[in-house]
Amino acid sequence: MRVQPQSFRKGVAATVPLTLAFLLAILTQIPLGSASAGTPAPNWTLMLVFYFSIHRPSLVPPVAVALVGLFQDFLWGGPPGLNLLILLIAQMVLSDQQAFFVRRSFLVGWLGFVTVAAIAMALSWLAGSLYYGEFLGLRPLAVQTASSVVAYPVAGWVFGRIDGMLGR
Amino acid sequence: MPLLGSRHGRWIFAGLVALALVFLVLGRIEHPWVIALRGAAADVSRPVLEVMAWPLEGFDRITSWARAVTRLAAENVRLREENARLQRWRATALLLERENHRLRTFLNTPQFATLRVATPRVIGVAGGPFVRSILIDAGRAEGIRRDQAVVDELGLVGRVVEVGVHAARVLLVTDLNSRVPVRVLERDALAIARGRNEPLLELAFLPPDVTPEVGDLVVTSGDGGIYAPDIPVGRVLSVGDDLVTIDPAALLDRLDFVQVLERVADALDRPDNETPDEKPTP
Repeated sequence: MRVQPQSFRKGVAATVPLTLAFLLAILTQIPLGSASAGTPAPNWTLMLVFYFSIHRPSLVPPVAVALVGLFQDFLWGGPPGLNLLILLIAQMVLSDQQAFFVRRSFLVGWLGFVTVAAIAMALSWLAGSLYYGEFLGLRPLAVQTASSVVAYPVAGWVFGRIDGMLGR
Repeated sequence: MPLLGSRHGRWIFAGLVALALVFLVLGRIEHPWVIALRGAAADVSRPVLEVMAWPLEGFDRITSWARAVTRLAAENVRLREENARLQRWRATALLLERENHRLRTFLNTPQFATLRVATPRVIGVAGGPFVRSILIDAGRAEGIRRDQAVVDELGLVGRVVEVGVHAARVLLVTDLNSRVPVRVLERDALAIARGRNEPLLELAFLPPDVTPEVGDLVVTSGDGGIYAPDIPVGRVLSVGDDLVTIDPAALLDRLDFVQVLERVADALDRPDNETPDEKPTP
C-alpha cells in the first residue's frame, strides 16, 4: 500500500504542536541567569495550548494535552497533576470561545491569554496551597504569569509561523 | 466542535480531571510511582538539556574570556595578593590539622568523614513556581541515591530527592519543603533552617533563651542522618521579633558543578570511616 504524500504530510503536521510542547516543557529547565535562585520561567506550554486550541484545536486533543501537563509536572517536581489540570481547564474555557477568538485581532487574542493566565494563576495558587497545606506566597506565581503575558506576543508570532507552515 | 460539546468529550474530560486528582493524591503521599516517574522525566530531559547547554556554554565562555581580557592587569594584582594570603592560611590550616589529628589520636576519637559520591554538572532548574530544585547529570549509574547531601564550594545546596539512571533532582535548601537541622555556631544552639521558596532561609525552632545576631554562622548539626555535621548553611542576615533569616552560603543563583556526598547513615555503616584522601598530613 502506498502512503499518499499529502496524508503523510498531514500526519507529520499533526504531531508538531505536541512535540513542540514537550520540548518547551524541557526548555523551561535551562539554567539561565538567576533561574536557580527561584525565578520561575514563563509557562510556554500554556501559551502553546492557548494558541493551538484557538487556531488548530484538532492538533491539541485533550488526552495529548493532559500528557504534556503531566510530563511538565514530573519535570518541575511540583504537585503532580496540577499542570494537567491547568491545561485542561484552559482548554475547556477556550472550547466555547474558539469561534470568537479565531476571527479577532492579535490584541484581542493577547487579552484572552491574559484572562486564561490569570485563571491559571488563581487555580494554581488554590490547588498548590491545598496540596502543601499552607497559604503559598503569590509572588512566584505572579512573576510566572507576568513573564508569560509579556512573552506571549513573541510566542504567539512563532506559533503563527509554525501554524502557517503546517498547512491545512 | 467544543471540547465538552459531546457526551464522549465530557467523559474524556471528566476522566482526565479524575486522573489529575489521583496524581495529586499520590504526590501528596509521596508514592513510589510518582518518585520513579519524576526520575524518568529527569532522564528524558537530560539529553535535550545537554544539547541546549552547548551554545549557552560557548556564549558564556566567550563573555567570560572578554571580561577577563579587559580586567587582566587588575585581576593579576588581586590574584597575587590573594595567593599570598592563602599561603599564610595554608600554613595555619596544616598546623591545626596536625594538632587536631594528634589530639584525636590521644583521645581515641574516631575521625568522621562523608565520601564524595560524584561531582556532577547542573543541567537544569525547576521552571515552576512551587519548587526550588535543580537537575544534575548523574544518577543511579553514578552512585547517586535519594537523600544524599549536595554542596558547592561554599556551602550546602540541598539534597537529592529523585534519582533517574543518569540524572537526578536536587531539592534546594530554599524550597518550601526543605528542613535542615542546623547549629548556630556562635551561640551553640540547635535549630531548623527552613526554606520559604524565597532567596533567604528562615531559622525556626530556636531555643527561647537564644537570640542570634546578624552575621552568626549557621552550619549543619548532623542530626537526622542526611547531612554531615559542620557544612556551612549560611549567615544570619536579619533578626526580627518573629523571623530570623539566613543568607545561604552556597551560590544558589550561579550553580555550575556541585558535589554529592554520601548520607551520614551510610558513612557510619562503613567499617573504616576515615577516607583515604582526607587523612591528615603526617
